[in-house]
Amino acid sequence: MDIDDDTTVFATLKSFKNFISLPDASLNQGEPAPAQSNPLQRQYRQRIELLEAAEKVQSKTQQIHEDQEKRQMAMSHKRARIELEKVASLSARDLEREVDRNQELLGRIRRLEEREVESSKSLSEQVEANRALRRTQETLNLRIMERDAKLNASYQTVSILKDEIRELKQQIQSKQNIIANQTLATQGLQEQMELQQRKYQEVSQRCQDLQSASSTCSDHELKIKDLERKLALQEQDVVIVKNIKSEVAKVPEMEKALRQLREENIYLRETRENVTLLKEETEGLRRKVERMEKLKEEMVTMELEKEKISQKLQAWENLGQSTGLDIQKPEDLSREVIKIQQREIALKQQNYTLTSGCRSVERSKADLQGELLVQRSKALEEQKKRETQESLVRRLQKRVLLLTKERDGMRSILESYDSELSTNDYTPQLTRRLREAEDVLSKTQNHNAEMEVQLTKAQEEVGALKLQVQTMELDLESLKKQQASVAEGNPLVTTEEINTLRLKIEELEAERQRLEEQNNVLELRLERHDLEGDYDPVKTKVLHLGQNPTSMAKKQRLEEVEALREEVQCLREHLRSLQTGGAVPAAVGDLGVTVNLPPSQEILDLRKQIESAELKNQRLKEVFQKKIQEFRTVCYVLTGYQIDITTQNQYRLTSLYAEHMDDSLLFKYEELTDPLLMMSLQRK
Amino acid sequence: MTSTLKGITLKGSAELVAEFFSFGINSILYQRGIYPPETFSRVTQYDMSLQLTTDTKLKNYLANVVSQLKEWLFDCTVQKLVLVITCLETNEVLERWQFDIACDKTAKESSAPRDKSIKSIQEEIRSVIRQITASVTFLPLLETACSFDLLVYTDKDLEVPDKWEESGPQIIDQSEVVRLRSFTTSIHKVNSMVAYKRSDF
Repeated sequence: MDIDDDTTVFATLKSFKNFISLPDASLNQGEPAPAQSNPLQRQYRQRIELLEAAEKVQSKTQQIHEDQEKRQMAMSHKRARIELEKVASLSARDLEREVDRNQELLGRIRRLEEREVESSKSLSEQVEANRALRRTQETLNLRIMERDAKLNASYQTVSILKDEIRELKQQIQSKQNIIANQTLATQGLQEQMELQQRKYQEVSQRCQDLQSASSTCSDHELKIKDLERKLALQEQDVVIVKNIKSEVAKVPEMEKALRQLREENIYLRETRENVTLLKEETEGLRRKVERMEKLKEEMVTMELEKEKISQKLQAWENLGQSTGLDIQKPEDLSREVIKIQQREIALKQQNYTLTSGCRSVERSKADLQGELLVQRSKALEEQKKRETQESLVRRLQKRVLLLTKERDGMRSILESYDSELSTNDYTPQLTRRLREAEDVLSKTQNHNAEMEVQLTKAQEEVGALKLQVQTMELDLESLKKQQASVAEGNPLVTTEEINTLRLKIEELEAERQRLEEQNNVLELRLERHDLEGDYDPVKTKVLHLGQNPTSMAKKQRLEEVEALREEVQCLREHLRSLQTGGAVPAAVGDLGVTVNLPPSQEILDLRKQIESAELKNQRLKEVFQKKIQEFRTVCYVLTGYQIDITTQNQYRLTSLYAEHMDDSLLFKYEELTDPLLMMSLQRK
Repeated sequence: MTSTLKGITLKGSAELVAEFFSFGINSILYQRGIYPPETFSRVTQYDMSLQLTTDTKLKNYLANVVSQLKEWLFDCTVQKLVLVITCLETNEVLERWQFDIACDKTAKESSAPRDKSIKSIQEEIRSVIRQITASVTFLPLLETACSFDLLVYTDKDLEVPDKWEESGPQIIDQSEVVRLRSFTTSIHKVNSMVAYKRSDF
């Protein structure tokens, strides 16, 4: 570059020099004429030229400088460019690096963004989870609070229970104390009980002694009772004897009283007979009185009848005078009656003939009226027909007029169309118009025809209705005339019929009421029967279970009755056997076998007791007899006196050393006094 | 209780009526002293205390009759149920408790339940049973030993089941009749009345 610069510098110097040489030429060329001009001008011009050359040189130097600068600049430029390029490359590398970094960063950013999104999601989730957790936490807090409350409550209950436990323990302790006390007490009581048991044993021994003593006492008491019984019997005997004595004393008085009573009895019988006789008489008299009263009544009625009959007779007798006929005997009356009856019959016959004639006349009249009606109706119909035909004629005339008018109109139209056709040549239009006109015409004609048909129908209907109305009016008039004629013609017949009909109606009404009442009564009876349980055998039947309580109770009852009867029979047989005096146990045994009465345990025990008691009795008797015999023989032998009982309370003393065997002393025993009274000596 | 559904069906009505008869007959037997009072135990039904027998034979008999009656009520072939009290000594009928049953046959064709509350039916049944208890005031005392029988008036063409037989109506001659209240389940209507022998003084 420097070389180039140098070259350029030399080049420029060269050029400068060239240039300088030139100006002379140029100056010379330029100004040849004014060579003679003033030197000043030449100087000036030289100066100017020099100036200009200087300026040019300056400018050239400037240019060169500038070129140098330019080159320098270019160099520097290049250097800068190179540097720039380097730098650019560096920067490009840096840029690439930066770009890479950027991309990495972008990637990172994206990843970070994704992570951010994820993290945001996770954050939101976490937030939600947080919220949920917070909620759960709150619920848990609540639960915890509840549990706390529960725990507090449970603590309280626990404390309460502990208190209760304490109390219970105290109670238990107290009760244990009580139990200990009570065990001590029981022990004491047991000791007492043992003492008591010992006492009881002693007492029981004493009781047994007492029982034995009491048994002996009871035996003594029994003996006392026997003796008391014997005493009572003796007293009763005494009383009986006293009574008999008193009665015996009363006997004569009784005999007197008996005689008196017999006399009274006879007297009373007589009076009773008299009384019965009197009663019969009174009854007879009463009946007579009643008969008399009845007779009186009959007589009264008879008298009344007699009066009535006599009045009637008088009336009958006066009949002749009252009627004005020559009547003196009932025969005349009967004759008159026959005459009147004959007259009546004749009149009735006349009446019947008249009525029959009347009715025939009426019938003919009715027929004629009917014919009249028919004729009138026919006339009306013919009138109607005529009218209809006249109306038809009028209509036809109108129609004809209309048709002629139409025809004229059509002809005019056609003529107009023809005229039009000749001038113009619009055949298609005309034909179309023609067709349209024809259509319109046909439609109007059809419409006309329909209207006419409807009109005729309506007119016919009207005519028919008018006919009906007129016939009805005629019928009504005829009926009215009939009624009037009937009412005028035979008033008696109608009134008689009406009366009879009215009577029939009344009778039927009365019967209906009676039947209604009967119906009501029957219905009441039916209801009553239904209440009582009656039923219609055609529609209902009564069922019950075969095994029902009533039948079972009846069966049981029958069985009981049968069993009772059998028992009664066997008891009767048993009684008979007892009365006859057969062997009791055998009989009982036989009866027991035949009747199959199960002997109960009590009866067997009682029988055994009875047998044992009887055995005891027998043994006692034997022993007693033996002992007594011994005692008496011993007494007799030792003392020489024998005491025998003769009758109640009388004792006989016989001595061994008596003179006679039959000598004895009789004594009577009385309770009140000790020494025996009433001694009597007897010799046999 | 028969059901907790709203409305009464034919089957439910038959069960209600049969239940009423079971308790009603027990009440009558207790009130009239046909069986000794110690053979009855107290139960609660229709919101009142009623007496039910504990005698097994009687229970079986009543169960048989009531079950058959339920069938007949379902078929609408029964017309009356009569409880007849007979004196055992004289074999005379002393009292007759008659229950007329009117059945609405349209309920057999349509199976739609009728609109009547069970409570109102129970109220009506309660008043009937109260009247039965109160009838003691005017009915004459049954001094002799008595027994009872249940008669059922049915349609003539009904097939007679096993162990059942025909019987007479066992009507009291010269009786006084007293009508008691009635109750209805809207399918079955039951009229009650009692007839007793006029006591001649």
